[in-house]
Amino acid sequence: MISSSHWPSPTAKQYTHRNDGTYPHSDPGIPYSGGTINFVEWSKPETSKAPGYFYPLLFDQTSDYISMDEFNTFQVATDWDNVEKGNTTVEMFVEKVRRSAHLPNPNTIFREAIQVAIQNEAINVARLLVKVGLQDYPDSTVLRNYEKALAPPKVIKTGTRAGRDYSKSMQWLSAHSHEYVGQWVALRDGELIDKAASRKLLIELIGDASQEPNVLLSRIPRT
Amino acid sequence: MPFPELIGLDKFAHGRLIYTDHFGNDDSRNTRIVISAEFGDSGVPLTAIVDTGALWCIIGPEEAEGIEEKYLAPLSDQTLWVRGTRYYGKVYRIPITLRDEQNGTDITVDSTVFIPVLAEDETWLHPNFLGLDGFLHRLRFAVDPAENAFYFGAMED
Repeated sequence: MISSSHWPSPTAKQYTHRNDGTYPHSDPGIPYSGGTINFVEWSKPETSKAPGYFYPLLFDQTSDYISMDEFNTFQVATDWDNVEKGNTTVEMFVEKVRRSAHLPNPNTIFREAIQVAIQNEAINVARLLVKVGLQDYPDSTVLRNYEKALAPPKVIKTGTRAGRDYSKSMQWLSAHSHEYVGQWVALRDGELIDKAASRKLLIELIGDASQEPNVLLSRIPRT
Repeated sequence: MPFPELIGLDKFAHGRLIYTDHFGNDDSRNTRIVISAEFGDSGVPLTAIVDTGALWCIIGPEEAEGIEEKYLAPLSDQTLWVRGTRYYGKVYRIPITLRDEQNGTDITVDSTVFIPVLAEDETWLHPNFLGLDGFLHRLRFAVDPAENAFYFGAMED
């Protein structure tokens, strides 16, 4: 819900897209394949980042577009809440993001929507947003980077590297780590080499030992 | 008693390593599974909690200092909730290797890792995490509490 106290009285207008798939008053050259879009026009508020543009404003959760607040920030989290509450579906949420993406920057709303999905641990929704976004904006570096970040983990190598055995050091951690909370410790085959307040200091203290195969450096966490 | 019959290229697990279930805090309620894992190519192992409730792997800013530069080109900015606190950070793809300690095979997984970027007044108090979607999702793993043994195997893609 947008507070109207910050705004001049808006005038609802309805535009349909042109034959070339763009909307009047939207960013030029960004194609959009939807049908009718409802904009609310207002006149150059002080907080507007792009006076003269027409942004979609939403006044209820049933609208077709992601809402914006008085600072022109998309309220993706509000729309996501409606998914969590069962008021709308993931598919409708993704479609809302898609419809809203061309204003003002296609990367902005997809990035915000993906971040909201990740914060809510809805990783499959985040992946769906990336997939849908790349269909519309295949050259988006932001979306390509998210595609890499959200790719499922992949086993890339198997093999052996002899001489690595931290089992005794892990046993030492079981028995003694509570004595070193908040510090870094260096262990070799179950024996404490040294301790320090930081990783950098510890490496300075133990020197080349930090590169030995069986040496384990560990920060002992407070939580 | 170890279970060597579990380990082999065509068996459940490729390798086995020893974990600790008491780490840091002496509170018995904080039992956890902490294993060693290498981030990047450096061969320097870190300790990390196996956390099926975590989305991605998370490592502290100090630990990240030991990772090669080539892996530290962030893919995105992100905020994540970690144990009730919201952290801003960056997301990377970094190989993580589990080292076998019993005549088996090591496994390296290309993984998604979140590294927090702390404000001046923030301190990172948490352990490192090996998360489900960013890492464990492509592994078979099993735990033998009698031996504190963590068995791990690579899933076929």
